[in-house]
Amino acid sequence: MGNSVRGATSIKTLSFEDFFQVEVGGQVKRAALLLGSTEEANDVVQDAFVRVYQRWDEIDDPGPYLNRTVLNLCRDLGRARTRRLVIERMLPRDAVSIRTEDSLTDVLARLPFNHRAAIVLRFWAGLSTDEIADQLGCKPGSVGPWITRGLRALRKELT
Amino acid sequence: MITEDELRDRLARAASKSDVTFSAHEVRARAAATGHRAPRAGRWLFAGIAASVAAIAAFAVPSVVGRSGQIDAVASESTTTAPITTAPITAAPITTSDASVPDTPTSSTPAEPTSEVQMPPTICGNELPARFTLVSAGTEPATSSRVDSGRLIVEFTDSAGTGVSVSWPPAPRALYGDAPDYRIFPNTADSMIGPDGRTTAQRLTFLDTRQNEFDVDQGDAIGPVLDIEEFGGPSPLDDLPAECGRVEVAPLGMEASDATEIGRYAIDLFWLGQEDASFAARDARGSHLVDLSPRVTSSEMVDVLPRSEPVQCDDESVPSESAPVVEPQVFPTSAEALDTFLDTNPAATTFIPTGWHEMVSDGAVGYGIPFDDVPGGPTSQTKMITVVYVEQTSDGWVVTDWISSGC
Repeated sequence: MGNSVRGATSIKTLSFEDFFQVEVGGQVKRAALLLGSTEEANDVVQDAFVRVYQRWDEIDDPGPYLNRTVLNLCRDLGRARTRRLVIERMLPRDAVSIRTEDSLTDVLARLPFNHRAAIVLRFWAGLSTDEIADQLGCKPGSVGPWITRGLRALRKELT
Repeated sequence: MITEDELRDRLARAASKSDVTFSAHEVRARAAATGHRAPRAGRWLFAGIAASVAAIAAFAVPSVVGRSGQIDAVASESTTTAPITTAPITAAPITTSDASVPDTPTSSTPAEPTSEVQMPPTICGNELPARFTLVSAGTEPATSSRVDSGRLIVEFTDSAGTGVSVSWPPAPRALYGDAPDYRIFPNTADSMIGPDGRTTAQRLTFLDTRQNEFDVDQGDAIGPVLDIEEFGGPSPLDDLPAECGRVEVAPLGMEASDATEIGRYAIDLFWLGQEDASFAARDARGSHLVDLSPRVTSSEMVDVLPRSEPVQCDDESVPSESAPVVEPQVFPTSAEALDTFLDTNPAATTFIPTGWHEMVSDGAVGYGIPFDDVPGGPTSQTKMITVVYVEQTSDGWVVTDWISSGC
């Protein structure tokens, strides 16, 4: 893919517009898998790009910065989850926009964030354990158990 | 059973349905709307961001590894019932201890303090029921322990004076208060079975969202990282009061000169019994983390309490619910009546626990969870998810009835 979602080096050699074109598709797809919502994914990634743009002069390697910002914004959405779960049940059903026939995203959404992120980064982005640890800001030793437990939960619920 | 290749395919299929709905032009426009100037070509300034990142990283993961709960040499009885310390934590007596060889509690009898100092009586015990470790590299660990109104309070600090305070059992819950301008959130609740097959370590990461306000990258702003190890075997909680099934964790401020409590969370203690992977599942949704922010966070005087229908479910076949409260308890204040109702009434188990809006009328108070804000209007005019009605009687305040969305 060549973008930083999949671990490619992203030293700032591109203009912001070119950087946006290279990154935006992968970032939205990853965020959608993490959030279970294309709509929220676009919001989160757009917020992240705004931050990157505002700091474009200051950041020497915007790819990792963008990655980290998107992941953190996805993570933050979970903080109001209890309240949102109550409210979501009152909203029209089309408010949740990404649905697959096998409800993979539903099952993913029920995983703890780090389990979900580790699964997506390994099996969708194809990152190594060290790369996942780097993106999530954790020790490499934590990644394996997260993937194992995430897989176990997916296999249990996707039979 | 889904294979890894199938998982890759399904993830790819799910991701392929996610289209981008905004452009680089919109990003630039949004940035401009915030007063941001367009980047200047060729301008590469690293010093500012590097200094910011370095400063944040310095407090990001405090360098403390401490054996928790062991009261080694210091014990003091506080005469105040105030929440866990809001004073600089360096004011508390400090002892150091070795975290490298944890002791596994195997008895239901709390360990006797090893200190020769006379311990004030505690509600739950003289040693925390699980091993807490504030993770990082570098400096020598430091902990202090004291007893405040029977609660064992153990503080973990690093050389900069930052850290985490743990109270067993938790302090009484605050009923009223302003919603804080910033809060920390338990960001990660993960667990793993230890190498002996009997211990579980769960790691809690606290994210200091104050950084949002200054647009500092949160990736650099992860607060104290707390490991909690719980042990298999007989539970030391079995013979203790119910409130001892929880500990309260309060991350403290990040700077030594400004060490203040910035949030409080209660953590239920689950005992593993034997090798039991279900702990991870129980833990997975973070349901054991309870925000201890005040029940009631705003108040308004009203002429008449709102009695309109709560927010309708999307599925209109699901009716709203309401019920009177039979034989209600009497309390000195309306807030205490609400608090007990929420904690004890079976109908209230699905109600949102915090963030209630108080609507005060003559001799009656309504507590509501607003569905949405009314721009420019009073909160009482908005649709409510739930309203609990409390009335004043000659004996005190009682919850009379409630209404709630049925979904």
